[in-house]
Amino acid sequence: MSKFPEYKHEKSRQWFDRALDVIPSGIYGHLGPSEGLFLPLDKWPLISSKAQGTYFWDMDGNKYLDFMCAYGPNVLGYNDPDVDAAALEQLKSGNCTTAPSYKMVECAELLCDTVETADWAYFMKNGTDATTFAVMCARAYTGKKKVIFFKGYYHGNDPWAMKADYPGILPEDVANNIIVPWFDMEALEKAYIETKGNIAAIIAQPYDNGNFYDNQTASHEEWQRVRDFCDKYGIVLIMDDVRAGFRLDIKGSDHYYGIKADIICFCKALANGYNMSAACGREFLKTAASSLSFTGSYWMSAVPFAACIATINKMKKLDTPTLFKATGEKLTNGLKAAAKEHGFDLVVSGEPALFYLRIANDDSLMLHQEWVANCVSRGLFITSHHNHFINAAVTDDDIRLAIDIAEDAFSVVAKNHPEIN
Amino acid sequence: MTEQKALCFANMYGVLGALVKLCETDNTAKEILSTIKNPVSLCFDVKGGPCRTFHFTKEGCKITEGAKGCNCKMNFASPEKFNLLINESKPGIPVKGTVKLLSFLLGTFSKLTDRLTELLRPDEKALENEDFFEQSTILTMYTIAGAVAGLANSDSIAKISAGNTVDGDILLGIKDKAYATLTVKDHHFSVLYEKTQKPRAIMEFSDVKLANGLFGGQVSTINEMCKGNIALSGMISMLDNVNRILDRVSLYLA
Repeated sequence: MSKFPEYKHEKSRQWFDRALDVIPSGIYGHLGPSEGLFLPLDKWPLISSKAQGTYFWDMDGNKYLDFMCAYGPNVLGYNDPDVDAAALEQLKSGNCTTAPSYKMVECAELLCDTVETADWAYFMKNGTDATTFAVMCARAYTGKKKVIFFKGYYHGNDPWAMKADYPGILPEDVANNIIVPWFDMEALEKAYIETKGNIAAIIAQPYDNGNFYDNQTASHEEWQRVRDFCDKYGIVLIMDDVRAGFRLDIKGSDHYYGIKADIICFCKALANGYNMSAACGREFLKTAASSLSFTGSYWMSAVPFAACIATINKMKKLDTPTLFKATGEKLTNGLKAAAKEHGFDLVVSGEPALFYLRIANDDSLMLHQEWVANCVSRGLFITSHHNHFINAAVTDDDIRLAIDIAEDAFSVVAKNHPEIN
Repeated sequence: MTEQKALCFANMYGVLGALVKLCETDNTAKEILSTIKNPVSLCFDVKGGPCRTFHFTKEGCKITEGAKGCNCKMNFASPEKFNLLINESKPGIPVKGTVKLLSFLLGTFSKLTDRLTELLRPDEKALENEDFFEQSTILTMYTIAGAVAGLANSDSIAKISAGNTVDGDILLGIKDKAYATLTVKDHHFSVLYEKTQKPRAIMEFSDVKLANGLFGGQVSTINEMCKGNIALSGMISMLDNVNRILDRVSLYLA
């Protein structure tokens, strides 16, 4: 008998059906059942009614302990009182105004004081905006075409960042992309020679945290070699810190790995769910950044800036990277032990603040998907294909609950698969 | 944005590949085959394209790669020329067993491909018959599976998807009705018209009607996935890539 009874999702399903009528795919993208891999669909909550701390509730009133954190933005806890107070206070005095609020200046100053490589900050709304800006900036500065990516890359949804076999993408959109294995210096040198030096930038996340495979962290030495390569050839080094930013190091993940990127892109954890992103860069790129025609209707809205200031200050106060590392390790050690109890080999990879899970008993991920589905349907929201996220609202009680639910789900899967033991 | 060489592979592995299941499952095809006096092994050799031999007996049709064992052979000077055989019934140049080849091509082979066309490009009236509807849909699935393999190995865009696909068996199927297996090895795809026992990824349509709607483009794959009518499991990155190749199949064989 399972200790945690499975949830039902009748009302969520009704809302989702309404969504399907008026929104392509109902919920498109990573939060939806297709890209979010809700396998099987009936085990997953689809639409939420509210959220608080590290929990959200679906339309049926089911409560979920959430280790996806809206895929990253929830860094301090949903509805963090300090962040929300700052945002609401700003809302009273203005948000989207013709002359941008002084909050924008304060926010840029704070980022420059906080992020090691930042001599300036440029604001936009999504991670894709930030990476697109960074690539444009590198091309404007160098006058060169090609951009080097590391294998398994994800830098957003603009056509330049996708692949030629994706629907709606033309080979011309990605004709200037060069893909090399992570930290493969020979491949980098070869790319430089073959393009006759026509390389504007290298863009990479801090480490290989792709989907469907164990995440591979990086070393200071590997990043230093890439930094040296860029310095040698005048290539702009862009760190896409949209996913990992502020979870590894308040000063930026480039700082965490011992280097200084030329441009660093932030989004998810920047404002605890308020919609903004930022690219920060070094002084020598400031003129190129100024030259770009790149803006948007809401990019200078003041409420997210106020939220961002409150978020960064609170992350500093809490020393969230240290907290996240400890929390991630405590949680994943507990999950591994629970797995072992039931004969499962749970592989934990990546940085603890962004841990990735995989049951290694089979090579198809089917057991893993079954376990994840049984966790979700009992109130522990995790995913089968993507790294997870820690937030500052997670308590020791939450960790105990997560391990309890996970243990229960392992027992269900073990019962379904007696061959495991 | 299509390529003649890739179309040739889609035709050879998708359309003509479906002859195997047509001869195995369709009574009309079985009747046509029953008139064969001696086995015919017909090789289509396309310069700059595939070379496959179709072995026809009273019992059915089997396909092997290359020209080995053929007793009739037809050469095509280019993929374009082979595509004319499929689209306009224009034959290539007979180079082996000419007399037997021409009589088989104009007789049995022509009747079989006509029957294949009836099922793969059915008229609306015929689809009102439930059995025909099912048979047509299932044969279309085999055709698509073959075309996926053909395009994965030849079309410049599909090869990108294949290049990102890890090794293993992908099971495609209509629940409790029909299954095909795509085997991936070092980014090369091959197709088997049967159920693998050890799939690394599974895409299963809930019923024939849904499959028909998906194949005909009347219903959205993503919508049906969201509704839970397409069951996915396993290494979903493999299915992501197959889905991208399926988009290419629509472009080539629509």
